[in-house]
Amino acid sequence: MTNGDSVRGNTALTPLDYRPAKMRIESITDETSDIKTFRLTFCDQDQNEQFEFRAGQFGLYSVFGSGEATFCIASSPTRRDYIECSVKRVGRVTNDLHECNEGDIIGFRGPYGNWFPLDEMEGKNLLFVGGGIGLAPLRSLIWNCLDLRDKFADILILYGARTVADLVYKEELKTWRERDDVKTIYTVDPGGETPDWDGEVGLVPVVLEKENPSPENTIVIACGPPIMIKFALFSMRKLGFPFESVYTTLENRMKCGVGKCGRCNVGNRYVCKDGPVFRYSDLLLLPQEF
Amino acid sequence: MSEQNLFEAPAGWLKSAVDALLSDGVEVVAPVGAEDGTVDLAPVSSSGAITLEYLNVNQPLKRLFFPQTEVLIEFERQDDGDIDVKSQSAPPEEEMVVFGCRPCDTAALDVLDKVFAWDYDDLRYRERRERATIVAFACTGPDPQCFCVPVGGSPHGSQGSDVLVFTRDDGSALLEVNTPKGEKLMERLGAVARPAQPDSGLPDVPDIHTGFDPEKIKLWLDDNFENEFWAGASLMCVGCGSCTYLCPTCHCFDIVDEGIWNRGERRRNWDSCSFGQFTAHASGHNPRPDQAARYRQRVMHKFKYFPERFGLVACVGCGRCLRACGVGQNLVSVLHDIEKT
Amino acid sequence: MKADGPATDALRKEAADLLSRGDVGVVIGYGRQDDADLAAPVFARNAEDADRLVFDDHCLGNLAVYLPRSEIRAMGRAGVVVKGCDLMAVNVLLRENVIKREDVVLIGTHCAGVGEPQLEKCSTCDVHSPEGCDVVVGEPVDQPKVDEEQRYKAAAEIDAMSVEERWDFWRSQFDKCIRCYACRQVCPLCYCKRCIVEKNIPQWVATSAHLRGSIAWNVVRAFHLTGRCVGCGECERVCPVGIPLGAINQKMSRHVGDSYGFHSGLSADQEAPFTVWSPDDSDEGIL
Repeated sequence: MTNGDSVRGNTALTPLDYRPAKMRIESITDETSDIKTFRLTFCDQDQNEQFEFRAGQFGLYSVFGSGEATFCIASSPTRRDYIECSVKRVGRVTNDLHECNEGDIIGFRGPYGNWFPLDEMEGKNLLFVGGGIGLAPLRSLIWNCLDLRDKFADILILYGARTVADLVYKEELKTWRERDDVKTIYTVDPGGETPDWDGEVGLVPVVLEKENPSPENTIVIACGPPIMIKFALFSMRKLGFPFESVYTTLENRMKCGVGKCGRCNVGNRYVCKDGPVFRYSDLLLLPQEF
Repeated sequence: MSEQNLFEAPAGWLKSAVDALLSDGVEVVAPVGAEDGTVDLAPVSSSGAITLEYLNVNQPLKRLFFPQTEVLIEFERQDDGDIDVKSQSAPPEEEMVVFGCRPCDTAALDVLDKVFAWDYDDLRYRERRERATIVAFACTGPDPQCFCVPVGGSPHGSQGSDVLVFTRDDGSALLEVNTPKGEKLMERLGAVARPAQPDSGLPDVPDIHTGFDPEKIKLWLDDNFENEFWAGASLMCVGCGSCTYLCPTCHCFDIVDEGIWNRGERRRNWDSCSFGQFTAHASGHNPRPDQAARYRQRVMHKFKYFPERFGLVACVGCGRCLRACGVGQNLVSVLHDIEKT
Repeated sequence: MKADGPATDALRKEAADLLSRGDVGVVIGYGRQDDADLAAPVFARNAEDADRLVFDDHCLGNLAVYLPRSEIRAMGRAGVVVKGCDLMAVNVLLRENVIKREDVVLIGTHCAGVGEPQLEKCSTCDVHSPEGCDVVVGEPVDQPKVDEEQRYKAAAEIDAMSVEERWDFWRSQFDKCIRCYACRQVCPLCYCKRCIVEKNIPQWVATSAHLRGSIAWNVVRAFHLTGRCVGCGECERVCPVGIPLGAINQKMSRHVGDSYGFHSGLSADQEAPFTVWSPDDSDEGIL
């Protein structure tokens, strides 16, 4: 829908037997009290070398015995040695994933789904709007863009979480802030600040309006909790951003990841195949069932 | 395909055919009666087990190609921390011949084929389909719940079957061959049936009394995702999965892990859009929070989304959902109500 | 009982009155759709709708299943048409504080039995005329004395088998289960917001339709209904693969009856055996 049919852009069918590749957990980073980031490498060296994906795509990660769960690939496709995913502890698989240790083997199927429109973004100003763990898909894209920095005009990252403790990728937030080719605005909800918090205090849409970025020649990529997205879009409309240049991701529940299991559809679109990345103007044409 | 596609078979042909196939080591699946009076497709070891007394088999044909539960992978944790992962072995190599399903169920294979082989090719489904030759029996006595005609089918529809059998009152039959697979089967059963003249005359097509226009229904669906109609139309639905599980085109599934601490298996199981937990996120958010949204999805999927996506209505009018529903939820009545608005 | 009989007339009048007075927001009753064998639920919202109500031999379902649902509660106070057997389920809903008596108007129907042929449960019915309703319509029916042995006939037939035969019997029955949960969804007493089979941390009951999972599911469900099931038989009636679920429930009901002298659903203020504790309790009834 948004771009191309699949990574391969092909017409031939890909054989599907649901067998996951084995990946080893190389390292685990505690992001918040209930979010961890896992760095993974394929157990099979050939797969490590061949694996390709694009920012925005997702995979089905499995703890053997618990089941599979869907997360975006949170690392950049330009970093070829590993992939990363950030996981919030909410259910059976995520609980068990949180119990895993470095060196443990987990399963992975993917990459699946479409990706952010990097071609369309070239030469444009980029505005990243993230909330909570919604920074995970943006992080993949942000590093992707930073690794190809010359191709884009101004970059603004606006990221918020409920509290300072809920901000993810804290080290990277610092790295981005220290760069002079990126502008960053970090915010926490009122009451979520700490005495030494030097960022903004306020909801993401409010901070967005205060910043008042120009819609001129700009692509917006917004990922976060549905309620934040909803209000951020109100703000963007106010600021004059056309919805054709706003992208977001959907996170409907999935089982197969490849357009068969019938679970993730929004209208006649499969989030696993036509998404997870959607142009907001396209999303408005679909039933609001996500 | 050769020109010759009609064959004449004498009374008792089915017994001869089944016995011949069984003695060749072919797996034969045919209608078998249970103690409670229901008839279902099941593997048979002799032609004697087969019954021909049924309107349709209780459970849909899809079970043979998309079973309600199946192992996808098996895994075992090794002493060194590695995990041994095995794909479940492929379906048996030997051929399978399925007798006795109805044209509605074979038409439904078209729907399943589209889903299981677009972009990604579901190997288990395809392998099962490939090894099966389908000999459908044309309907002689549809009941008031049957509605294949308005959804593009017919009691004599050949869509999806390799051979379609028209049985006469005296037990003799006319066999219409529709595919190369069917041709191969007829070659194999050379002694059972002989070529018939093209003017051998097919029996009259029995009437289906239910009518509606799926295109008209789609036009309404296009504009009425948000409509109070859905709350009313779904009010009696108690949210079980019997309509979806007995539906020959419904194909939603779940993937779950089962096992003990060091080994287990990953299974694919039928799942249903009628269930409240179907789309529920672990966070508690549910895009389809009530039965109205879930029932709407079922109707929309069959009569709007699937046609838009794959070019055909995902309903073959077998009527099982009407017959099975314990509370009397009636898809055809709902469609009639839509047509009237 | 015919659809155009006195019960239907009285029912329509009663429902129309309740609705036009604003006493209830909905009357849940039965209606006839085209020429279907089964009378399907009708949710009458106004006096005009009330004309769609009927009561006849085809009114098989137990409409108490709708009372706990949020869609119905949102309509306000609910009138519900209940046969004697259905009323027993309402009594349990009241006993278990799922619904409040003041939130429902019980429109009882004298009932001589339903179904063509008549349902098995009707032959041992001792509530042909429901008691405790706000109003009862139709013509009173003689209440024959019920043979206790007859009441538990289905369970007794299975009990008569050897242990091995019984195990084989139930295995072959549960092997048919397709896990559609029609039994649960149609049961007025299966009102849990999240069924144990949907709880997966840990996964108590395997969701796969293999024998192990389906035995676990059906047995766990029987346990959860023990001492609660009123024997309305809806689970067995709607099972699309014909599992004789009524026999399991009968077995458990008999067990509770023999051990505690308790028969669920006879009134709304019964003390259920597993919800009270007394020092005099015998330990023989532990299942």
